[in-house]
Amino acid sequence: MNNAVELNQVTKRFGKHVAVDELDLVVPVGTVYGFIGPNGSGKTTTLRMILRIFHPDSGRVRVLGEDRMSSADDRVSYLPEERGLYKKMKVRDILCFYGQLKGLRNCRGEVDAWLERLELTAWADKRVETLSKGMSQKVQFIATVISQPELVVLDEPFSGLDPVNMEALKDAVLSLREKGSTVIFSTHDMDVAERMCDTIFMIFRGKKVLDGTLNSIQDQYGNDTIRIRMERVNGALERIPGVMRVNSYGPYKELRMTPGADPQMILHQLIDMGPVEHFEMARPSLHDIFVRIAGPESLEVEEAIHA
Amino acid sequence: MRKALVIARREYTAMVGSKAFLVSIAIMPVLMLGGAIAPQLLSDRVDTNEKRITVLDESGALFDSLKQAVDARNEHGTHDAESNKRIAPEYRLGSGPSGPVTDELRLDLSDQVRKGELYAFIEIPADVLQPPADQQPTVMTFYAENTALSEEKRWFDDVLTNMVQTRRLQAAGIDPGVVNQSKAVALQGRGLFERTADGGVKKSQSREEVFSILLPLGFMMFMFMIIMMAAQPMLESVLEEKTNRIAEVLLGSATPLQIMTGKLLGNVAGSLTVAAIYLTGAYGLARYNNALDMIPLDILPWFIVYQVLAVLMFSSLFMSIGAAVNQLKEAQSLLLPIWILIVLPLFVWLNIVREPTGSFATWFSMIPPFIPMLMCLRMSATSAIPVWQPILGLVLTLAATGLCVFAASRVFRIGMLTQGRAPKLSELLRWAISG
Repeated sequence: MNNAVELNQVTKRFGKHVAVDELDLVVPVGTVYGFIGPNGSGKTTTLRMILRIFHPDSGRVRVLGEDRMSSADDRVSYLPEERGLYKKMKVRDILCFYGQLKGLRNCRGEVDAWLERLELTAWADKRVETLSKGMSQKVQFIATVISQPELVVLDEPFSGLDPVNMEALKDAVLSLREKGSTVIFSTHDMDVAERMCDTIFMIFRGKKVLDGTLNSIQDQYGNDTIRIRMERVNGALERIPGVMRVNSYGPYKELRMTPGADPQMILHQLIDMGPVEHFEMARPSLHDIFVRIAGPESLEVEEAIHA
Repeated sequence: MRKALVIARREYTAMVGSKAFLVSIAIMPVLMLGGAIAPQLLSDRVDTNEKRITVLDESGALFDSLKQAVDARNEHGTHDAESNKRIAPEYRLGSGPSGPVTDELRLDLSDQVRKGELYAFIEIPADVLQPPADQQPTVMTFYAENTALSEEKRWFDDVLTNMVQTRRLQAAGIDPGVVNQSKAVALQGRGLFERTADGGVKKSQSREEVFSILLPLGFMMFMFMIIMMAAQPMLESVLEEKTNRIAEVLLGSATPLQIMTGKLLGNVAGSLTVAAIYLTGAYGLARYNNALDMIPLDILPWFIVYQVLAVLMFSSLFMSIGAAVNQLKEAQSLLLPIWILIVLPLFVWLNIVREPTGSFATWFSMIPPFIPMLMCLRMSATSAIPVWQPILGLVLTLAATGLCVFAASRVFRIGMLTQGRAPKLSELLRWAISG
């Protein structure tokens, strides 16, 4: 078995709405796979089909080498977005409960080790409802991985975390891969996706628009981005010939060139408009690619879908 | 099955280990019995303000005696003997204008009552002492704002009828004392004799009439209470799992059938705990009062079996509704039909206790949702129920429970993953039927 997940021409409809449209996807064993896409684009539906909570209307879903239809699978574990915990239960009890449900016999030692690792030992006997958002997110993460599943599906695992907790959880996810688990997670944080994922997958309006390593995706979009830093600009950057779009982040700005434009010509124009402190030819960031596909002027959807 | 047991254990702990459970264990009997006890506790909270009453005595023969009786009552019956605290109002009797009673007079007095100047007025017809020829009672009238629950009307009724009867007897030359003596006879209700285990004869109990009604009612209310305490938490627990997305995590570990089985097992175990707590309490209470032989221990096994089935049946329905909706609010309208099924036995219990072996009682107690409560009601009301009836009832309940659990599992499976608008009752039925 080389692939943890194989989706083959999978379609899922809710009434007349096509949530996922003829989707193909292959997630190799032992990889960290990032799902990105705007809200309502079919991410969670796809995750749920991988979990076999939803069954596709057509196409084939194969998980860990099996075609079965039941969602009950001890080798697969799922972290739903933000929730998934009984509020009145104590932290250790709920972790043991989820562990036992997945077939873990002696949960106590395993639970305590994880609590210590994520600095939650002091909260072991507290009720879930007393935890902060970051803490309950960590508890939920432990609940998901406690049984050492082969495939871990995480829906927005990093949302609402402070940088310290975020690092702790990121390390935990990466350690899962080292132990041989396959991790699929969805995120709205492009930075996280860029840094953590072996492969990035983007779904938009139910269709696959990106699928590959960050490098291969960026190659696909070429070297058409210029990053600059200018405190003062006299005139409109959009008017410069060869500049198609401007994203402004204060003094930092990202210019997107029209195909075939000459960066040197643009630099000359910029110097005429004010002092240029920084000028860099760059590949577009994942964030930029996301916005190009899903933003209001999503010119490249058709292109991406047919790519 | 192991997974179902893991879920059952959690469900049981969540139900029994909560503060709400302990509170409801304590409060439920108060709620159930409070309705019966509260009026008695509050009975000395009466209005002790003086009450003015006008008597229109057309016969002219009763007013003086009535006044004497009222004075005697005011003297001795309105104050507590020890504390000398006033416990009942004094009556101030006035005589109305002489002459025939006209509607104008009645209207005038009515207005006085409305203004609060009078409490009531009493009209005594001229021929009140004549025994009526046609056996129709002579009617005296007590006019007041509300006579149905009036303590005053009751008192005057007693005193006046007694007075008229005595006068009539005296007029006929009969000694009223003899009549009173002749009335001193009674028919008492008793239970049946039984053969004891050692071959002796066990005498019948002198059952109090009230007790023979209260015991069956108690049994039925007990079961009603347990159903309520078990079914409602089931709805809330499923709703929590659904809205907090716990359902998806559970479904990733166990099949819908395992989840539902586990939850129902935990719920039934919880309801048995409730029953055990109360039964132990009742046993202790009966023992303390030397009333152990009043408790019909022989129907207890039936009660337990029926209780388990009733909890399974109603909890599974509550559960499927919890799975179908997104908020407690949405559940209310869907719960209504089920509540009616649970509550209906409470409306017919008196008819059934009166004639527990009658055809109405027999057939009504064979309708599946009512069987557990009504069969226990009948069995504790009389021992004359043929044994085939509770057995047939059991079979029918088993079948209905199986059907409910099966239908609920379908609704549960679909409902758990359905977000958005709550389904209508018709849609629920479609889910249940077509799966």
